[in-house]
Amino acid sequence: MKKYLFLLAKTIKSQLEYNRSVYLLILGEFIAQFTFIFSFLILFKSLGNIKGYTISQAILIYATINICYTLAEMFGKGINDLAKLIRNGNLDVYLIRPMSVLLQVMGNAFEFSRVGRLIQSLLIFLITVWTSHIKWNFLKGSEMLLIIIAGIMLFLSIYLFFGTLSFFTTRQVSISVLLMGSGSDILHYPANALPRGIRFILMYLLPFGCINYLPFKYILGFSNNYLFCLTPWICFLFFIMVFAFWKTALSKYSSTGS
Amino acid sequence: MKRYFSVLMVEFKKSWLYRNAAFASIPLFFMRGLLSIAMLLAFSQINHSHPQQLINYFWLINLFYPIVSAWVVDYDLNTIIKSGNVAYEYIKPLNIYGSWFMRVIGQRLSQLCLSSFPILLVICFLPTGFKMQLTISLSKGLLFLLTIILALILNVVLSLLVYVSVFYTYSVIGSLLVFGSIMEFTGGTVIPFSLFPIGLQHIFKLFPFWYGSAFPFQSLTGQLTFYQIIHGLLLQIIWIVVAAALGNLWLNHQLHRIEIQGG
Repeated sequence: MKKYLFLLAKTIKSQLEYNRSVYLLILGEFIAQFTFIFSFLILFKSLGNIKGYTISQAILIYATINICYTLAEMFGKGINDLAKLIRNGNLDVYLIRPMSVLLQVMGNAFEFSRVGRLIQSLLIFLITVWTSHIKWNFLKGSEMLLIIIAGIMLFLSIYLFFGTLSFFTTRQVSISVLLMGSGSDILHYPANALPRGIRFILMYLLPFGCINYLPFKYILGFSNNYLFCLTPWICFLFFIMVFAFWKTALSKYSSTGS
Repeated sequence: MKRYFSVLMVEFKKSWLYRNAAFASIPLFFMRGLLSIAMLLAFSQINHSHPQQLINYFWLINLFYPIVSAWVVDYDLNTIIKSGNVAYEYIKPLNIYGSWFMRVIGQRLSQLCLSSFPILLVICFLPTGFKMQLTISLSKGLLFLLTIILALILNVVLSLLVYVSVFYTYSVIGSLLVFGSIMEFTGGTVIPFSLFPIGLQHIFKLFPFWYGSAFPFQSLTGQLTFYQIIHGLLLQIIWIVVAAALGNLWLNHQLHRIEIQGG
């Protein structure tokens, strides 16, 4: 773990060398995020509410998922670049070092520029927590924390899953771009508000419903069933499964060469 | 003129070489359109605000994405500037601004040819509620063709300004992120332009971005009067002239300033 932190510090330092570009990226992320939140508000204003959710409830969900997504992007950039690593044959270098390969891959890159977006979504999160009419108690507070950690794990496991797939295809699988890039907006909406086909994917194939819908049922007071608080743990289960997949794929790995 | 045209053809050939990447992005455009419509349909009041018009608008954006997007990035051009290979550009018997213009326009056009037509085939046969339905008269179609060509030129000229800024920032992504997110938001690519409050729409029309993205589509989906379209056309031309002149001046200023070492 100490080695991982060391690697992380080095990558951040190397990014700050090009400081003009980094500040510009942070500013750009801030503006980009701002336009997204702003367009979300405008959609609400002109098209009414999302089925059954008030605006502050929907924004609370939006901000929570955004925090998870941003943190996962920052720490998981290395995993996201896994396909490139495999294609270049650079993964071989990691295999001979006495350290967990996954940690090395993660320490390989860190998306520092997302800080701008993280600050903004944290601010919005705090504001909505403050202004929404939710009666907070210890269970709901700790549930919120659990959702965020589970969400990060979920995004990371999806990166890892598609990264591992590139062991077999040696090409970036474009569906991950869709899910994580421009299409990621869809994940910020409560899963039950979406059309049936997409809802099915988000509930049963990839457990996004376990962070953006089921636990919020309890937090927002739609249901008093404590069982909903347990649903984020499914994300950890999902991570373990993906991790096992990664382990088996790694043991069967043969280099693409030069 | 022939020389500039050959720059264009090189880009076409290059994208044909990498055609698999372009074909791989087709499902991407398609899914993104589907997802954005799904998001829109999640709102409860959607039926009161012409859903078909909005759906058409989203499909048109995804259809012409290589033209309207800020994210058609030429990483080679970035490398040319960053690594000092801009010196080679000097040797060529071409105006640098002109050849870069043809280069970027060639990229966008070739991507459009490769990805748009297959999408068009699919989206006309989707189930109702997601399908694109448009009735186009001849005059409307011709006006649309004119506006979309001007929009292409305008977007290319604007994006050249971003590339020139790489002389300062050394990274096209940084410049593009600031520029692109403002462009896509005020141009109406993130959410349909007609959903902005009226006051905001008037403010955004003061920027050039609306003329490069939402304007041609709005003219095709019938949200603009004939007078508004002609007015927009004129402003498109004015913006093109302004941005091209600025880009030229700035580029020449930068080229006088640079020092290239090595060999």
